[in-house]
Amino acid sequence: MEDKNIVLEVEHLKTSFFYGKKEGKAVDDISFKVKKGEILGIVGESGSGKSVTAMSVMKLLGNTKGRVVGGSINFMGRDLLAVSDKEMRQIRGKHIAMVFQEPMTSLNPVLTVGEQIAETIVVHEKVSKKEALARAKELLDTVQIPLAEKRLGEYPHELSGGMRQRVMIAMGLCCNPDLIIADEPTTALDVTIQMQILELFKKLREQYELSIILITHDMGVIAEMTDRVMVMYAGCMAEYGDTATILKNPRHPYTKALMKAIPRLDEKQEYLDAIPGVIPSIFNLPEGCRFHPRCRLATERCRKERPDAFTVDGRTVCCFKAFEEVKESL
Amino acid sequence: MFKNIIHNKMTVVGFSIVIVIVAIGILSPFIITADPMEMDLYNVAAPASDEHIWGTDELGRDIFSRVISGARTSLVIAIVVVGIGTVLGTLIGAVSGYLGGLTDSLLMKVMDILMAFPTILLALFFVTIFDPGLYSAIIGVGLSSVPRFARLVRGSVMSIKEKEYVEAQRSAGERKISILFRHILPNCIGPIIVQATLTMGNSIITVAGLGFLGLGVDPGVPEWGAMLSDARSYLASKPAICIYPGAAIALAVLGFNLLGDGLRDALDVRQE
Amino acid sequence: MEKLLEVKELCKYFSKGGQTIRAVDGVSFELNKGETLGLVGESGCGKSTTGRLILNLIEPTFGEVLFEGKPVVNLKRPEELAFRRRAQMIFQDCFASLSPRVRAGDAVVQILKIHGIGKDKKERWEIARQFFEEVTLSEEQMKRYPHEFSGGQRQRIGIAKALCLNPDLIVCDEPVSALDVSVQAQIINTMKDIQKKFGIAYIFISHDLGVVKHISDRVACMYLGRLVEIAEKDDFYDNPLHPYSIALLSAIPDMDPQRKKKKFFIPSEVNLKQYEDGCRFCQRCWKAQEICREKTPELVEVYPGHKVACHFVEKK
Repeated sequence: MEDKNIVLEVEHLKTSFFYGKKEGKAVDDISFKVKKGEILGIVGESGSGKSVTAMSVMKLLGNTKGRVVGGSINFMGRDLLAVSDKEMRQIRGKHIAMVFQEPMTSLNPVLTVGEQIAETIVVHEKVSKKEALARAKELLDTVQIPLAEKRLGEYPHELSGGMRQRVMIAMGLCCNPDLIIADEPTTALDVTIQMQILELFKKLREQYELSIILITHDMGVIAEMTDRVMVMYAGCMAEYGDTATILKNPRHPYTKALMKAIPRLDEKQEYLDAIPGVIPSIFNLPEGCRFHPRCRLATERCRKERPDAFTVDGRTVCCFKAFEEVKESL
Repeated sequence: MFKNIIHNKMTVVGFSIVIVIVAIGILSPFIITADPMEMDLYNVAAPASDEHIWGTDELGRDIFSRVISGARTSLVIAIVVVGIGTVLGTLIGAVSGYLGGLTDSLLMKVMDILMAFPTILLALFFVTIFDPGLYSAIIGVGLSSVPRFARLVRGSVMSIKEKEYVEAQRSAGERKISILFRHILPNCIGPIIVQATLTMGNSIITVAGLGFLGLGVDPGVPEWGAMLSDARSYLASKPAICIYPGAAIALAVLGFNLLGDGLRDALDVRQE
Repeated sequence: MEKLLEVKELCKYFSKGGQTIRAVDGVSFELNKGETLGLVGESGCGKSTTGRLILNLIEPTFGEVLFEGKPVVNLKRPEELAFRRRAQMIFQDCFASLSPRVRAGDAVVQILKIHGIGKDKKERWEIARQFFEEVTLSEEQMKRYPHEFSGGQRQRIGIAKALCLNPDLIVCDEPVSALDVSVQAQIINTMKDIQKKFGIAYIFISHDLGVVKHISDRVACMYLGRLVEIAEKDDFYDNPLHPYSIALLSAIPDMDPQRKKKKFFIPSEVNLKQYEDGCRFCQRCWKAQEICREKTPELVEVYPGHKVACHFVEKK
């Protein structure tokens, strides 16, 4: 049965933020699946709703003005939207771990690295502090931190940015999760360090058959890391499917434009193909297709109706124009 | 800006209170029903009657007239004290925070020394070197509020001077002094206003305390703080004598605070 | 080509907790009129500090900056004003670099006033309007406050501010790093247009090698306060010689997943205390030998226009 392979299945997820009477549709009808041992990339510019998607899955919207208003989130056969807060706490950390962009703010500055990792282990498993510390050392070895023994006794501020991110990953790994959600894990790091962290993710995936959702704004990271990718724009899915296919032959005008706007190392370009205009605010979304005000191909229909998703050569696209193109080519 | 002030209801309330008090201060001679200084020893601490609508105080003076006349004195005190504190404090704080280094250390040491003395003691000091009287008391209290303003402004200036837009102005060739007055100080205005409104209330009470020691207002002159201190011993038996001037002070402080809050928000262009 | 700027053995040391941090340590290069020099490196390499030293926003510990042959440090007021007029800066954080209480148009008018351009407010406003047009902002938008603009628009105001004095040099400190890709492309295009039109030289500081490749004529690469390589753009990207440049270029994620590049892993652990002598990169370098730890490599011209500071790169 194929279903056994699917770790996470999100269907028609809608998350909105409420300020007074205003509703901001941060995520509007997003569906995706993550298979076992797969890396799914979610790519988009700021305000595209990629982080909100992750927060919705983790049910971490509690402190914000946002809440899930529709759809379903199915994690290994359990409906996450239906589980209690207590169960959710169990799931977080034990089955799903999250790695954030800024490791310094996610680590407690007054506890040593060892104490923090050990604490997380003790919370979820019945082990003694000593055993937990031993596990912590193993974990630091797993994430390739040199001199792990010494590092256990150090405080977060004594570590470099890359090391801190490794510690965060180690904490995420401490209960053998099935899924890691990494939200811009390398954005704050230098490229030479980014490369190492990304390689570490790849290694962990192979070693533990981990599933990873990698959220980033960097198409290069998507290309190097992911098996499948979802391109998001203003809370909607633009294109979703096999990474290689999409990067080689993007169908959605936004994906195309985005790839052309990136300064390439391997090509000579006199001018970059900039996308005119700005990303809309979630409180002031355009009618019809969200991308139409910035789209060169937009027609009257795009201004009025929201395009449905259609599937072509292994990827899903939400665009009328792309649909017509595909129809013509057949 | 005016639209912003009107927009916030509490600010309107504060603004109205302040307007009313100022109006009373100006028009007091026309409002009072009796001479606020005239004693009537046969009619001491009388309850409210047709003749004295809020009753009389411990010396038989008309409380209503005294509270109304007191508005002028108390307002002058509050405004002068805050004026001294704000102007001097902002200048010292701005120079200290912006120049830094030795200037900063020296100025701040002086401020720390000033701060080490209680307000009353400092005011007493000024009153004794100058003539004992209302104006030296006001200046004394005013000067003692300087360190608080200076510290506050210095802190804000120090954080704002590190902002990139200050560097941007420097790279545009603007003079240091002009950067300070046009780009740094306007951005410190919020905390200064809050501090100013708080100081207003406190200063009325401090000057009253000096009056109690015989160093502030001349005895008998209607002034809210002095009235309150004079009537303290009657608090249990004849609370009415305390309540009216007390309420007047409370109302004035409330009015200034609400107005201050509103002004701070209205002056902040970043607010929607 | 006429020389515009010359940087000679520029050093800036900070002391922090009793330690001396050499943020910039002996950086030298030249810049011609109308040219763009990309200054690349990772965080903490001293590229921003170098930019601020060039504009005399901070004073160097040693070394000098010559603008058209004249030093920029310790200028008297009229000369300082004249220098500021010709050398401007664009900042990374376009929001932080705009006074929150000053309307966009007034920000430019103020700068014009400082430099005595235009007779009165009206004339200055008109001059400002022209520059806003140059960066595609309308007159109506000039009356707004910074917080009412999007990130890209704010950066346009920043460009208008830098542009309004008709400078010969603009130091751009990570001007597009805070922007989204789609907006970043707009700003880069605008900057290129302006350069063509006004013949401005840029020093373009960025950690994004893709952006630098796109906009620069020459590229200088810094590592921990030192210049390790400087070359023509194509030379630098096609034939990097310093091990650090090689590692840096190999670390950039490639958009083309089919093409497999060779990756150079360099360890991330650096002990900053030990870098007094020797090559700063030696602790992470796979080529490092005894000499690298003992002797500081000089920046030598390997062939015309390509200078490298490494003991193992031979002169051709």
